Amino acid sequence: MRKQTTGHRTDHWTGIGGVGLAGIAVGVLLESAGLFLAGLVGVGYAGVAYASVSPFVAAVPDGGTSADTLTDADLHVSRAVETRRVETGEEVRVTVTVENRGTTFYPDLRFADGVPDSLSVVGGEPSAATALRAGDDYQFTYAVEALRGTHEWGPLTVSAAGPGWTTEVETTLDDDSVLTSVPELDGDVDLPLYTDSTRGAGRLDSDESGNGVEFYGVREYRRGDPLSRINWKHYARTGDMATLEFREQRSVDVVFVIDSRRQAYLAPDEESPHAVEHGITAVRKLFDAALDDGNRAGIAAVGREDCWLAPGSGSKHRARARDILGDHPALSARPPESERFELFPPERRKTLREREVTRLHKRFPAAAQVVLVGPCCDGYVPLAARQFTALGRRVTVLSPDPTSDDSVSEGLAALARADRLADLRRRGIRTIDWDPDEPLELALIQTQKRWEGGR
Amino acid sequence: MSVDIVDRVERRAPAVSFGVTTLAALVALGVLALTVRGNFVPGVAALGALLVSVAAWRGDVRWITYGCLILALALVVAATRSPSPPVAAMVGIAVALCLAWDVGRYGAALAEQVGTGAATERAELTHAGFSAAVGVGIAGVSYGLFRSFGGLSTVGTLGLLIGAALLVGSIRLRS
Repeated sequence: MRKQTTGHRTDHWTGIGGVGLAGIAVGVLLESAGLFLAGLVGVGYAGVAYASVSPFVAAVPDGGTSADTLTDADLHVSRAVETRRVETGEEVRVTVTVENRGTTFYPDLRFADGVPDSLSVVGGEPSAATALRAGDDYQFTYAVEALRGTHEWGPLTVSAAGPGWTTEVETTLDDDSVLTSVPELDGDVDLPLYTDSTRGAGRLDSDESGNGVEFYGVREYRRGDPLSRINWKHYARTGDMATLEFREQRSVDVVFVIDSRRQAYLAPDEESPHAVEHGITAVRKLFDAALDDGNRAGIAAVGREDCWLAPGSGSKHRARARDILGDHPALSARPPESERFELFPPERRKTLREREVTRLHKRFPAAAQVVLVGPCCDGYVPLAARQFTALGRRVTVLSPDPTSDDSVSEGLAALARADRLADLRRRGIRTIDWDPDEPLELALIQTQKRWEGGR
Repeated sequence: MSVDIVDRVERRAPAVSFGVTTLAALVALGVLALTVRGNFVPGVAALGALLVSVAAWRGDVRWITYGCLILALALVVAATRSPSPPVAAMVGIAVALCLAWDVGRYGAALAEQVGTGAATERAELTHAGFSAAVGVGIAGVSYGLFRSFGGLSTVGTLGLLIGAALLVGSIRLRS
């Protein structure tokens, strides 16, 4: 759909007529024919530039609009995005084609494509300028890097001018182009989950003996113990019956709660991904790993809108999780323009946030443990962690660090964040402080060592 | 600091416009240097041409105008010297000046609108061609009239002045 064409002067030639007239005057005063004619050249330029108005420019009044200029019948412009759905990180080519279907020569045509702010151009330019004769066509191509989410192109701006570029007419073209990129789940990590809130058979080593494969201990034989569990070597040596015990392997329900409020979209600089993006990357890995280990996993987000995937397992569940983490509006790559409860005073907002946590708690299965994912640069995630703990849930806080020490204020923000995480640790809540410049696996290993050391 | 230096030398105008602008400024400088005695006028003109070229590279509309005004000043000073450059040479310099001013500013504005890396050659060449044709046309007609009047006679001067006044008047009416 095209908007009405508008016209405006460029002021490109402003001043040349005046300088030309001054040259003529000086030429007359100095009785210099050369200077007189030189001045005349300047005046002539101004006159010809203003006189050389193309018909498509003349049809649009200065500062006004016209519906009959730069129509699709004159100039057909189309945008083709190579594919609508693509893996994250891949390059996608975008081709803009312009056909001059009318009988007019366009000496100065300019195009600027409305590339979504959430995509970065990695090849070519999303804009071009050309001259186009009647019947000719023109193409320009650029490439964008597919980032997570759904990206909609904005309007393509077309402007045209006569050969002197005195007046420019402009229109915009709304051509719906969408690119969706949903990254794969890749669970090559191992999230240490609490083992005291297990649900049924799985692959998570519990602290109880049972039907696992890892040796747990030896106990005195009890009537009814299976023969395969009797320690025959011990019997041959001592004549006493003993039973081997193996570590019980259980599964858990885990819900990953992602902080996707506007305040969580924090990054150390403009080029780096924000904490929400890092959080989603981490959940993609951990969710997959949790399912691989026979657990049931779910997803919730606290932010602009409701996002909930109840804990489950299986390939369909995995696919649903992939779509939610890739493309759910609550987990958009761009921060929300407005925030839930934004208009309320701080105290009331805090109450509403607490109610939100209670609502989530009621929604989760009884034994589900919670992994809270957020930057912890304000009090929300610590508040939710304390509240979930108070409600009897096992909580782990995974915090991608978006802070830097580039300035005093940023250094103070980093200290405040470290203080919040330390406070959670003091309260016995597991925290994983993840520097996204390091692999998540490293942060998990280091944290596990700390936990095993009782810190 | 290094970023500032890179920022300062980075080209911000399309290549064709920069090339045409620099060439036109060099033509104006060259003709002045060949037709005027002494070093002062060529020196001033060289400063103007350098300014025009650097400003065209940087895509700086204002400094392109300043550079052209310095070249124009050199032309006025040359006209006061004895012997002054031939009429044909002065007209040629004026055309080169207008061409440099127009194409340089056009390129800078184009780069600002669509970016330095965008494909703009066809639009630039079309505009530069138009500008050169206009300059050659005006120079041909005015020099032809001048020659046909046999110099800058009173009648001829009056005629050209009336023509110029009509032209400027028509421009004002249009705008």
